[in-house]
Amino acid sequence: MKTRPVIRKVTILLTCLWIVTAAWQSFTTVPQTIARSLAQSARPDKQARQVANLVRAHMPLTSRLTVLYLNGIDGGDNFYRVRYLLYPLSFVDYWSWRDPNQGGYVWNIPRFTQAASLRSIMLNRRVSYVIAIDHPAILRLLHASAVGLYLYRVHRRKLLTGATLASALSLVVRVP
Amino acid sequence: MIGIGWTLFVVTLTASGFLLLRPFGLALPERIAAGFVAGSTALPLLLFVVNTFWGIPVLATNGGGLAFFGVLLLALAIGVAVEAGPAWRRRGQRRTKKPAQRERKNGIKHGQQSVPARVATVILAVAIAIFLYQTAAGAAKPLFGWDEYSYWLYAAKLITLSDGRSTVLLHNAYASYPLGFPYLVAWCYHLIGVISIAQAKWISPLLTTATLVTIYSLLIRLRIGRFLALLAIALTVWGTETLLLYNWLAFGEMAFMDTYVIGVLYGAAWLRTQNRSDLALCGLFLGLSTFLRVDGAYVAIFTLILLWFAGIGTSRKGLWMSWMVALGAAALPALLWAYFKDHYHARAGWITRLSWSTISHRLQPPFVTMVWNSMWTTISNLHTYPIGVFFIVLVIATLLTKRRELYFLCALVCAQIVYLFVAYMTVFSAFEALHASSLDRYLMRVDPLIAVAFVLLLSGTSGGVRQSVRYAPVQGRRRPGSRQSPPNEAVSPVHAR
Repeated sequence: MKTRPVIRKVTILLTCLWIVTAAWQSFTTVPQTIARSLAQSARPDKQARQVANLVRAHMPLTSRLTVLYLNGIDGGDNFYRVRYLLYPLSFVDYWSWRDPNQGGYVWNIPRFTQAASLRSIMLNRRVSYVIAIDHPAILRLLHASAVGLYLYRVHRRKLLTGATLASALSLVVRVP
Repeated sequence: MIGIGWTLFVVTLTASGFLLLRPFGLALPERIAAGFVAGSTALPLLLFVVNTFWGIPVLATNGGGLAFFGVLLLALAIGVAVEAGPAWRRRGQRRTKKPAQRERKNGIKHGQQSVPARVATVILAVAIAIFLYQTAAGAAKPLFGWDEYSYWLYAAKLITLSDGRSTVLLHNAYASYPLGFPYLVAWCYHLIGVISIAQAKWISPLLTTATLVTIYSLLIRLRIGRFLALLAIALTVWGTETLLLYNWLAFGEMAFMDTYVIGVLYGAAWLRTQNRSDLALCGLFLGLSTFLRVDGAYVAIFTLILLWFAGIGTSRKGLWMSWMVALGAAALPALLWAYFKDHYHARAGWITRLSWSTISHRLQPPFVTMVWNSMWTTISNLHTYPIGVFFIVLVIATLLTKRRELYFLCALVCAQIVYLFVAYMTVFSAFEALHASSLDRYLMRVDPLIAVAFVLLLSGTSGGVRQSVRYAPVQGRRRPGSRQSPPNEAVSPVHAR
């Protein structure tokens, strides 16, 4: 089949018109998209940077140290930013997959909110520091009274001899 | 300093691609643009191979790394010096005798378009310029997609800091993801001397621009005409909203999309020209694309199968051999990566998630219908995919015109959708499947195919196709009149060697 000249011309004309409209519209939509995204992620790195600065000031940055970072939410943005900013440190993955083949990856919350479970993570992964922020359930476990940002040092020997979780941790610094 | 690094980045990638594309007899603009895209995966592949098999710290700033850098620069410089001089000299010769056959057929003199056509050409060029401007405006903003932040650039950072060690990501949850894009970004970090996501964002606009130039020059080579070639580019960039968004925001997929699309379009060009270098280029680009996405190999396989089906019945001499070359080019990167994964037991990922119980659960009606429903909701959204309208027109016209390349491109678009459906039903998590997560990102790769197919449809049946001529010494063999006749491989100077 050979396309008829009239059909061809009309098609090209309509296509060009539509392209012009789309290009013209982009001047309103793209800045709107950018503005919306910027508003949603206002100062995205502030908290991550605060954590990173705190840790840098109080502990050596070597890959031999393992950190357990408990921010109370699934290992998402904040977890990755802190991990990214503190690169040579090893981080314990802040999620665990339950039944991955039976309907979605579910964050296993009890793994990070129960004393026994935290204890076994610290022992098995040889955690040397714990950073905890802003989540009441976690702060209660660590016997922290007020909301804030905490950096603890883990005493492995005490954990091995059966001391409670709270007594095996010593506070290095707290930022309210 | 960063400027020098960026210049070196672009130059090294372009040069390595330029030399890689040597056997295919491309004209200079097409070869440079396609060379940049090819080099953007070929050079990272080289870094990966050199580090994996010889243990050279390719991104170190001293010792073996410095020596590697020196040798690489020297080799590229010598190669380009030997190769580019003659290519540059030939450029002027071809310019003088461009026949513009289509225009002559329509009774318009060569080089002169009608006034409306000229106005429309300018309008299209402006529309494309607006796209590039919007991409740059977005790239200048400090916004990043989640995948880029959490994996692609994290991986690039680890590779950079470990002096280019290919095993550094084996303990990551994404150990089975090919390292093409992370190595590309790491090469950029290495050259500009800074690890910065804000800098790495600019790679994707560069790649896309090179891809658009490649498609444009390919269409010109296929004698589509400047106006229609521009129309294809404009349709590509404005055919879906997601292309703009993913070029500056979530750019981890863009390298794959660019490389894969060029591969497919060379396949379609082969159906039109029957030129075996086009088939080999198709294989080469599809092969490179397997080093950029975790399922790149599967996508390449069904693309090549469809191309083979579309090419049945074209009895050309040396067809079997050219298919072997294309398959070899396609298989090499995929096999290298498969070997690496096998050696380090890093197969976690796609295939390992398959289990019969999962699939049989998902085949039950509520699940299947919900997945299909969410996919259809995404695909049928003409606000996001205005190109869908063109696809419907295209399918109807393809059934009427019965042309190989249109059949191939339409079938490939449908095959992509079917493939994604199968992927949602098997390897994706249930949550992602029920929402057809990221479907807009995966569908981006069919948008240029529809645009080009639409333009091929408008341009009518394939007339004479300009043979890609690489060197002048055998000019005596090419009679001026031979351009009108269909290309003949036996006398083509490209294949004379």
